Amino acid sequence: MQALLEFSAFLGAMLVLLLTGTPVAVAIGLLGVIGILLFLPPAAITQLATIAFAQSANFVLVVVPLFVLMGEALAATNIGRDLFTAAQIWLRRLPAALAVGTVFACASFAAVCGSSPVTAATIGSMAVPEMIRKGYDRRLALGVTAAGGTLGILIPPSIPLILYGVITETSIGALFIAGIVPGIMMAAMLAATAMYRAWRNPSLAPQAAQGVAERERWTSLASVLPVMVLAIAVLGSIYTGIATPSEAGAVGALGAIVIAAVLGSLNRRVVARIFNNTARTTAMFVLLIVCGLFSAFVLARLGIPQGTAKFLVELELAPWVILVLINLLLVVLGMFMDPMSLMVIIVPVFSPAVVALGFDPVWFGVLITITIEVAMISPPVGFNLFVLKTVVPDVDMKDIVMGSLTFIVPLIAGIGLLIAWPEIALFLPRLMMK
Amino acid sequence: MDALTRFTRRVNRWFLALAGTCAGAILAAVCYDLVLRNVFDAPTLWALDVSRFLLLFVFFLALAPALESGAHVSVDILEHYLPPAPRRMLRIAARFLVLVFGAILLWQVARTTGDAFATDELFPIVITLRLKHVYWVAPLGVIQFLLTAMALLWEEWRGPAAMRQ
Repeated sequence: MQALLEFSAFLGAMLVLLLTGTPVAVAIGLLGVIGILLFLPPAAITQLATIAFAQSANFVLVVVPLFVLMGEALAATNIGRDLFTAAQIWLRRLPAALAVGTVFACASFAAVCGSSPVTAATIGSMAVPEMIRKGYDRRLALGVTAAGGTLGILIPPSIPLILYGVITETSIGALFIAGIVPGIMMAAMLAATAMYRAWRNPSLAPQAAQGVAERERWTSLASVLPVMVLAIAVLGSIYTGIATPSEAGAVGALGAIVIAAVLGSLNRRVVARIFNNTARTTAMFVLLIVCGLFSAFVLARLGIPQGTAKFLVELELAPWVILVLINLLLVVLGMFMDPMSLMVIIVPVFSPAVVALGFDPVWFGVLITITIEVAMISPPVGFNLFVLKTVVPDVDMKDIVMGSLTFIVPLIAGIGLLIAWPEIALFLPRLMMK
Repeated sequence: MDALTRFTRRVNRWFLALAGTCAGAILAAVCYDLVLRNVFDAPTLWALDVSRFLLLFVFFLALAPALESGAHVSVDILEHYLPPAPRRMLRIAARFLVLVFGAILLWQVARTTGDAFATDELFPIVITLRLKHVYWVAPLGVIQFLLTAMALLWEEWRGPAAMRQ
């Protein structure tokens, strides 16, 4: 119990620092330093440099700039628009066809991009105006796009799954493969929610009547093809063992640059922007890992993760109840913190407990990622809500928030399904290991 | 102090360009090794380690540019609900904390880098490379991070005065 109280004090102090607007990595790092000054021998502070040098030269993390580069290169093309057009054409007979198309365009883009905000921004910038122009309810249009964007972090490649893999020393390849089926499941559930809402109230999503020529239908697929080939190349190379995740990232990044070049999307300024954004995001990500692991070191030296695991294991509660409680904590914290910080702070403390309770760390990684998806569209600081407001500035923030709340329901249902049937996530990685 | 702001911005542009180039070099090294290993069955001995050290360069060189552009994620929820004066105080506090963290990070990485120069140690890897030939970039990047934090703090400090002018 004491460990949990100490962790609560840590979380409280961190929230105070975060509320000042201090960068999350800096806040976590400073708390680690304070922890050492108060409770540990001062010499332990050398761990900060040790971790900084070790992690910034960690081969596993080489995957980060490569997947970020891949996403940035594809975001510079019109592939997002083309995916949306293809989905719109092929799914036009379904209720809420444009909303369903948005979800599937997000899912397809997520297969080549590991970032949720990039997915929401790329698809959202064209899907939301198009849906509103065709008479869709603003809240439905905004909600489905914000929720669809979250698929970016579940469907591999996924930056948060890499973060989870590094923190818990879990195979990133296995995590990526484990994200595929739950990712498709979540996409289907988000699409079903949009269809259900349109079926209950047809005025939310007017049915388009116009037909599409056979030729136009097939032509629309031409743009989907490079994305599918790239996604298959990346995941296939990991699955078949031809490449490590880092090497698969290189395959993806090179493929994305080639596609962007072939589509004529590259010029000197765009290339500079792609590489500059890649470098900035990498620095942000690695600093977050360095500071997260530094504070995790301090917490471990204070016995907090071990104490928490012991306390939770000895509780007379069913393991799934503890898991639900951990997820509830994540959802609540996710309302105030960004997803990656949440991962860095929570995972080192609770993953030993989850493993001690007999759960699979790969499965927990996928579960925690879906929980983070909920956080990404939960007010007041859901990341995707602000991304949508930025790319579609003439919409009301209130509409974005209200629209997104509906789509939290399928995400929570997905968490429930994954807790009830872990095989949804574990089936593919186990097949891979056979 | 305006000179400091101009200086940090200029250096950050260069650092970012260098970091981006290093990211490109990582891509080239990993792809080269992948092709050699899978097509010619002749993996390189250097690609893995070189890509790791290039990542270290990307990290330390892009640390300050990321700070300048606001790429380091932060939570600005409270800011929206505060009147201008307390909001400014909050920003000053946040930037001061970044400065403190930068100073601690510099103290630590400079010490480790100093040790690398003093001991002249080699990396325990296949290629022959001394720690000091890689580690020097860390204090350089963190000094720039610290200077950028100072420039940002100064900008925030003089903000309203500048606006009045």
